Amino acid sequence: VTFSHLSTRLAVLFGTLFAAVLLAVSMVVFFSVRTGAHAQVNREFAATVDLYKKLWTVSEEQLSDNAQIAAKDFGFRSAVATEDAPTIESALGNLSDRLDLKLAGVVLANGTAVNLPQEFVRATDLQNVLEANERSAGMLELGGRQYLAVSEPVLAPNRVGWVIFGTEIGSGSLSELESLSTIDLHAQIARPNAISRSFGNSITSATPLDSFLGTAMYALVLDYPMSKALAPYRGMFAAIVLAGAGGLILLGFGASFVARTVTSPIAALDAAAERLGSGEAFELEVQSQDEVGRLAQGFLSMAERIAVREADILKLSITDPETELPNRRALMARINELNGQDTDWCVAAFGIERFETIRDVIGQDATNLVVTQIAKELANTENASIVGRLSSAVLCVVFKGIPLESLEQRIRTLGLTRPHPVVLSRETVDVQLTAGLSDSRTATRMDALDTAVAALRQARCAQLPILVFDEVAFGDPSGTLSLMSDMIAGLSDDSIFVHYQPKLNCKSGRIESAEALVRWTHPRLGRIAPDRFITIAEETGHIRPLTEHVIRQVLQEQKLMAASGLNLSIAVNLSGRLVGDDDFIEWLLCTLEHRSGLSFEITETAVISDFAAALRNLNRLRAAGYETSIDDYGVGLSSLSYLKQIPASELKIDKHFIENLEPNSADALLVKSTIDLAHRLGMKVTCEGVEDQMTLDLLRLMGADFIQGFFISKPMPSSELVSISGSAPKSLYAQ
Amino acid sequence: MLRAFALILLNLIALPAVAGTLSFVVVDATGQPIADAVVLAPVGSSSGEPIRFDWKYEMSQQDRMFQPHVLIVPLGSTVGFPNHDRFRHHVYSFSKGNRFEIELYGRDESRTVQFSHPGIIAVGCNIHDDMLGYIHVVETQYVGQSGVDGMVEMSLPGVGNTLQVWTPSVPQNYVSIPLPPTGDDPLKLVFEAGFKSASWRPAG
Repeated sequence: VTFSHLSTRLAVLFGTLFAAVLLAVSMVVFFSVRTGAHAQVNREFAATVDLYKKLWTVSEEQLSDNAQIAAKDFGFRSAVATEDAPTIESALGNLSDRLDLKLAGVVLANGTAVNLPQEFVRATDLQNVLEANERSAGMLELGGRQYLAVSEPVLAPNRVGWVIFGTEIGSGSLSELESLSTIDLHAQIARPNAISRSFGNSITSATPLDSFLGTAMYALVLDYPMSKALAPYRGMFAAIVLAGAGGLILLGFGASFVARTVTSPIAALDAAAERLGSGEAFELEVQSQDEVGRLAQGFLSMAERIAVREADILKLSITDPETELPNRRALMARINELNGQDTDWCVAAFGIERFETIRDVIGQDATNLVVTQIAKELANTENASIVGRLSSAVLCVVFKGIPLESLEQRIRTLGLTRPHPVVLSRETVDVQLTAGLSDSRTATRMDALDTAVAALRQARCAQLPILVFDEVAFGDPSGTLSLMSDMIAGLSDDSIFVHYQPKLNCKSGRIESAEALVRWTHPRLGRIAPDRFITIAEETGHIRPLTEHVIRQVLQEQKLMAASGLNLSIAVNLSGRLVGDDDFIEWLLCTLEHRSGLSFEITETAVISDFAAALRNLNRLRAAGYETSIDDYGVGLSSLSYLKQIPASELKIDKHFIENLEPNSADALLVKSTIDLAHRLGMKVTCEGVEDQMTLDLLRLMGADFIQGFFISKPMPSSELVSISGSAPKSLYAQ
Repeated sequence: MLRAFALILLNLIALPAVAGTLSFVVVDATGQPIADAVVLAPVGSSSGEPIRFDWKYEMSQQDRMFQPHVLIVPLGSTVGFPNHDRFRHHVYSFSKGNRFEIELYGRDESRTVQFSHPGIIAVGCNIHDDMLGYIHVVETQYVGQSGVDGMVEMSLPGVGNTLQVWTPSVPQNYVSIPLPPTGDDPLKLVFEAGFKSASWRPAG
């Protein structure tokens, strides 16, 4: 059982204990009283039974004496011996009167009854009973009355009959017995079947009595009502009940007193704790000096300490710990404030250039001082509402009541982004800031601070000292993740498909191969640039399913093209991330099933992380008969060291070098020497991005092996490629 | 004719007397000998020859007891009741047909009573309740009475096939039993418990 109030719990606990003790005491008293009463009544019974037995014995002896005297009387004997019934009857009548007998009769030796019902003698087999005993004595029931009867043989001189005398022991003698007892008991003579009835609420004793006939058993039954036995103790029971009731009332007062003095301060404390928990203000008065008082005191000081700590935490939560400048949360709070004031505001993110270098040179503490110093300078700018620190190298100022254009102009005018010295106590640090600006308008859809930081990044990329956030250039990074799930969906609904761009073999002058290029027509966004979604797929780990899809597509379409009479070797792009993936290469070799006519172009060689694994896998592909090319050679981070290590059979020179190729230009020199270098290393060279005849001719002269570009053909679906090849001069396409 | 009459007469006299004797022990159900048991062989109506027994027809009172305890007398005989005690007795009987009362009489006084009805007479003293005696008034010569050892020796009449036996334990009537089987084997007469019937058994 749970209680929501301490006072209830105390009241119930004490009440239960009190009731249990009271009940136990009552039980003990009741049972001992009952046992005592029982014993007392039983003692009284024993005395009464004793008395009755004495009375019985006296009566029996008296009867027996009288019967003997009668039986010895010569005249009586003469009458019995001669079976003189009238004389016997008159003699018995005379004796009854004289001795006050209730029963006087004779049974003759031949069984004849005199002054007794003959029927009774026959039914009880009285003659045999008398013959069996010298004398009989005991209870005799005759004609509905109960007698104490004795018998005496009549000898004349041999036995000629029996005289039977009896005295009635009905209600009269028993009520006399009852009146002799000190308690108001009830006495009766009962047969066994009558004795066995239930005396549930009485104390009963049954004392067997002799039976005259020896057959029927009789008992003196004494009973005394339990209620009468307990009557003297009624007052005591009432006193106990009264004491119990009084105790419960006292307990009630006690519980309410306890509630007042103990539980109400605790309840107040409870309520205060509740308010403290929910951060509300509360008042708590300490009233006593006991444990509860000390508890309240302790609670109050704890609450104070909590308040101090809460303030600290609050301050920490809106403060940069290193410089104690407001942090991002504080800036956001200010922006929210300004949003509510219906006023123009702008955000400028100032990036400290070469921050790491400065920190490495002058140390963390001095750097913090530099940052604080810069923040101070920025805070002095007009319209600056708050200066905070967004990250270690980025400070952010929220300007109030100034349009973005004016702000940009003012920053330029003030030369905030020009390199300038910051003077510390011992040294001077040259600092340059780059600024990214954003305002409430751009912030309607995106976080103002994020956009400012993005503008800062854009400015740095563009090598500009100051730039306003360009939403178009930034794109929508939040679309990236959904784009990937859309892409996975596109893999199964044909919105991602493969186009093929033919490559011209300069030696044979024929189209013998083509590069497979993945395309995606997004159902909602339309065509998506392959560079974009492939980059995201590489970064998010979705490149493998995309590549697998392309490979399956290529295998299928290559078969279809071959069926249409167009046999092309197809080059499939493999991301550098996949080359190092043993599992993928395993899948690839399984899927290819030793098909020929496929090669792989390794893109983004820079991202090969496990170079040993990549080499092993490239060698496996080569051993299986698949050639590999190094794609986009010359841009990015592909290096000569790759060229040396990677077992590629072909080098694809990036279109940047080809697009504006002029004879005798630097590009021409680079391309020519690269072609030579590749040939020396035993590799073929493909040049991408060829868009005119002149470039084609120039590259041929330089010794390029394959030419790829819009001048040869734009990428197209396999079906289109098949139809073009059908209409083209027969010699151009490999058959 | 006379000789024939004489023969018949002889036969008539001689027949009852010559049948033989019988000797046996009377015991109770536990095998204890019964003293003062009486055995009669009824012979029907008398031939006229008076019945005589060779004992005194007398029941004296000595030491507050009747002596003998059981007395057998022929019908019509007169029995004397001499008092040998120092005190007086009041002898009486209420037995049917032979009721008598001899009121207080003293030492060495004798009274006589003639018994003219056959039967068993219980004799008592009105002064001394524990005094008890029995007189058998019989119509047969053939009687026997057991001694303290229970032995009975008696002669048999040769007519009839039953005997009547009596013990003081059931003093009101006789018990009829058949004659014992003839033979030399010793016999005993055994009373059943309650003394209401008896039967013959081989002795030993």
